[in-house]
Amino acid sequence: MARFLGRRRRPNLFARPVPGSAASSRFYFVLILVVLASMLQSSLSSGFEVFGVIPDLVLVFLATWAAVSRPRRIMLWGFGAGFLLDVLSGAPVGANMLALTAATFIASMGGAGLFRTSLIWALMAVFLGTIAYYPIMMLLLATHGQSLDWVQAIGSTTPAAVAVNLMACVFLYRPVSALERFTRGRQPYRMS
Amino acid sequence: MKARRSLFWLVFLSALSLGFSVMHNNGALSPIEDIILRASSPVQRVIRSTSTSAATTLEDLRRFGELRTENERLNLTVSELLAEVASLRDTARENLALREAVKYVQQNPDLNLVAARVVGHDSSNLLDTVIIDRGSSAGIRKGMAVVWRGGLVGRVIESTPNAAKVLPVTSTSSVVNVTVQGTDANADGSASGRTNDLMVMRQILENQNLETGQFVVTSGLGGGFPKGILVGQIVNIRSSNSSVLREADVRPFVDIKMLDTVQVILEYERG
Repeated sequence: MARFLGRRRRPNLFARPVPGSAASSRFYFVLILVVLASMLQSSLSSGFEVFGVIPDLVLVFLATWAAVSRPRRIMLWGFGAGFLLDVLSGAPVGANMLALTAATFIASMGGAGLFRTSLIWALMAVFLGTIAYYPIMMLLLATHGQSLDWVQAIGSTTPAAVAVNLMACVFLYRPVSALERFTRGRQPYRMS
Repeated sequence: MKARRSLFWLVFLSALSLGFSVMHNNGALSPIEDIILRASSPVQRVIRSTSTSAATTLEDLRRFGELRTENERLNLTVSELLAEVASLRDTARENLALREAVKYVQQNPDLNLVAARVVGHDSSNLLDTVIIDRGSSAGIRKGMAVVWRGGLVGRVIESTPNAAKVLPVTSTSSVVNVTVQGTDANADGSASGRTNDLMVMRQILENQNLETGQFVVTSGLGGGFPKGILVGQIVNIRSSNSSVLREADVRPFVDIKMLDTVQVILEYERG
């Protein structure tokens, strides 16, 4: 009807996926993976630290997912995953929410083109996401009265996190791409 | 258009995040947080324990070479310490033996004793003889009695300036004139070794009243040994159909195989 009247139909970010559809299965797959990644990230032993940091699994997954899938709701995923991460990890509620929302926004930016389906774009998304995530987290933690060693956080932790997240992205890229193809179903390829 | 929409959502969700933060500080989110934590805590516990185990295993694998080197070093240290402990135990045992020897000498002033260490056994496994580290230069001569803590060990059968060979009383080649304590004067006999670490006392008259548990001592007959040195204890008495004489099994007082130190009786008052 809207098309008939010549009005452009706006996408509804909060629209629930139709049960049984490809979008529905994709929604549940991503939901499970986001919950698992949040739990893993908040419970992983410090023995899994590389360069002194544990990979930001939620951020890496969402940034990679944003790169390979270009979903409309990626910021909502960042927002929801951030809330879960805040609750599970004992961080001040709102810190991860805001940081992950901003990180997924930055990771989902970029024009369409050949790079969007390649590992390079996923790495770029993870890089930008991490670069956005850490300063925002630091600022938010500082506003919550947490004492931070800024020199170490900026000079050591953030570069290490960027390196580790990029490595994690290299490992996660293929499985995430496979999941994207598996759950794409018969959806038409969207350019935007 | 799309960028504007994304920016709108960014601002909106950021504001919502701040709202959540305020709600959290007011405790309005506590029920939701509680539900999430309750639901996730079993899974998180499993993840935590599994990841800790996995991390420990990975750390062990990573440190495998280092651990192997450390293990070798520790094994070497353990070996050195064990050797030291063995040496100290040996010294302590020797010290105890020498104290006993001194005590025995003090208790028997009529005996002229010389202490010696057992340094070897017969290497052929055919004889029972033991070698001591004192010989003729210390006054030890063939035929002298060898004792330990008042118990008879044997007699010297060979002597060189710095060593002597002792035939234990438990040897089948050894014969010692003995008597049984607590019986009349006729309860004499001769004791010699058997193959099963027991001695046998022979030539015991039928009319002599013997009981198991009685002590057997040297009789002093024949002049080889001083009278009254403890030889062993009767553990069994046998009668023979073909003879009027009886035999008794005697458990030696001294465990020859465990001896470290002995005393040789150089002189004693005969009487």
